[in-house]
Amino acid sequence: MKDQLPYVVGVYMGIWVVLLGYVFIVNNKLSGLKKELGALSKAVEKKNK
Amino acid sequence: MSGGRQIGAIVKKDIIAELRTKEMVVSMFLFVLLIMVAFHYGFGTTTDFSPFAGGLIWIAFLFTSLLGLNRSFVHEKDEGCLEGLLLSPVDRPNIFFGKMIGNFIFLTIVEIIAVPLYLVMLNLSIRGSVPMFILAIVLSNIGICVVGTLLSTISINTKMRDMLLPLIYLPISSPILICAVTSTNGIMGGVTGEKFAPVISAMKILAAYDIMFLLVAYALYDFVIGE
Amino acid sequence: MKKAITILLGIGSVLLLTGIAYAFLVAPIAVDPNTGKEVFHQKILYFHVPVAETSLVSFILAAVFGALFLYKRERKYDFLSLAAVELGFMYGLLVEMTGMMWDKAAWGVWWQWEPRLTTYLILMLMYSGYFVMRSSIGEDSTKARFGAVYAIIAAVNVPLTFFAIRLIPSIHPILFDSSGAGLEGPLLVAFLVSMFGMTFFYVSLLLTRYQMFGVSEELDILKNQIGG
Repeated sequence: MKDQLPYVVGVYMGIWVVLLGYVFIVNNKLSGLKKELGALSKAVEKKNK
Repeated sequence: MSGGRQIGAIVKKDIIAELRTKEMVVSMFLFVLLIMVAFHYGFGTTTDFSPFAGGLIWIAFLFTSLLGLNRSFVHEKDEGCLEGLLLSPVDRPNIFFGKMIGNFIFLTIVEIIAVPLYLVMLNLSIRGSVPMFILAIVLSNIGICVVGTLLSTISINTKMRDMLLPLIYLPISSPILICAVTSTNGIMGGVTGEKFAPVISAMKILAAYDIMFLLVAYALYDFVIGE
Repeated sequence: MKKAITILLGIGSVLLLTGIAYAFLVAPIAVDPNTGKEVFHQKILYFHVPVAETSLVSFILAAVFGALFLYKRERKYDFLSLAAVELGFMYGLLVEMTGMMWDKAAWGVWWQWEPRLTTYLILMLMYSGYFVMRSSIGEDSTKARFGAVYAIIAAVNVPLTFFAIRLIPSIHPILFDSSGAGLEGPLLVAFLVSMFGMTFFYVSLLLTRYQMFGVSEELDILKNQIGG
């Protein structure tokens, strides 16, 4: 069991790192897009005025 | 024009063009020979190739088919033939079947010359039944040409063009390679009885592969060739 | 939508954590029926199999969305198909990773040409081609069309590859029936909990990606307004 422990721990840690990393990256991108959208719509409003 | 005659016209066009230049069959054949020489040097002092005879043959044929498949559409695209074909009142799936049959004929011609050469020069022999061997080759060829024609139409319409084809064609054709190698290895080794079962199931998977992808290509070719 | 995503993500995480806790604290260490030895690395299975099945489901979903796109020609289906391939690819990498860990723990080597893992390797190569293909196409409509076609072709190829690879005799005996059929009692509970957790997690990730689609769509419209 002892020599197998690092691999099992590695698997569980690794999966969480990848999954949470993905969640983080996607949310980051999403908020970036939203920011861009906000800025753009403001610019459009100004232009329309 | 009926469907059969449309397909026939496209095949005939490809054959006439090929007879004029002879570039595809000749270059494919030379390529197969070159791979054989490369195998000889790659395996060093090995003289007995029989345990992996099927592998040698199919690696060579798969890469050779790649050469022909790329050629068949690069040709059409560069000379503006594809636009002509699309403008003509030919059903889109019939274009596919025409091109596929053309590719199949060229690949088969190359194989008819290359298989005996491989057998002689690498000291191989077919211990099992020859008709089964031919059936395995034909089934694999159909699969190669169906998938290859479909994917080369995709790749020719991208910016990477013929660079892309190996990247998508080799993984998708991996079932063909596995089944073709399993069946030809078994037949060439002359296995019998219980050991023959994998050969049969390999051929069944090959047949299933051919049918599935013929249906997929028939349904999807409209979307592939452009609108 | 935002709320639903958060709730799904929450449920998924809680279930996954429960699954882990259950697997390590409650479920006994599995015993190899052949040798009678305890096999600790079997605990990898509680994550390995849910991840594998989620990624397969994802690839099938990608093909379904692709077909829907070809049928209805709505951009959202293309986006969903792309998102499903992307997620399936990520989960596939996790399958490879956990599978390699299993190999190393069980047989002391990092890579075995074992049927299931080999199938996954080919799958990964196939879907890498998907991304390369998409990036080498200029127009968005062609991208979507070819993406959908390729997603369908690849999904059709998955079962064929799997059956083909099984023809080659495997060198090593399969220690456990990793379809989960051999599991009983607490082991099965831990497995199912992880499985459901992973599904919830997956759906929330897919929805997050889909949300991105709405925003980028609006952005495009605005950009067109400014440009025009």
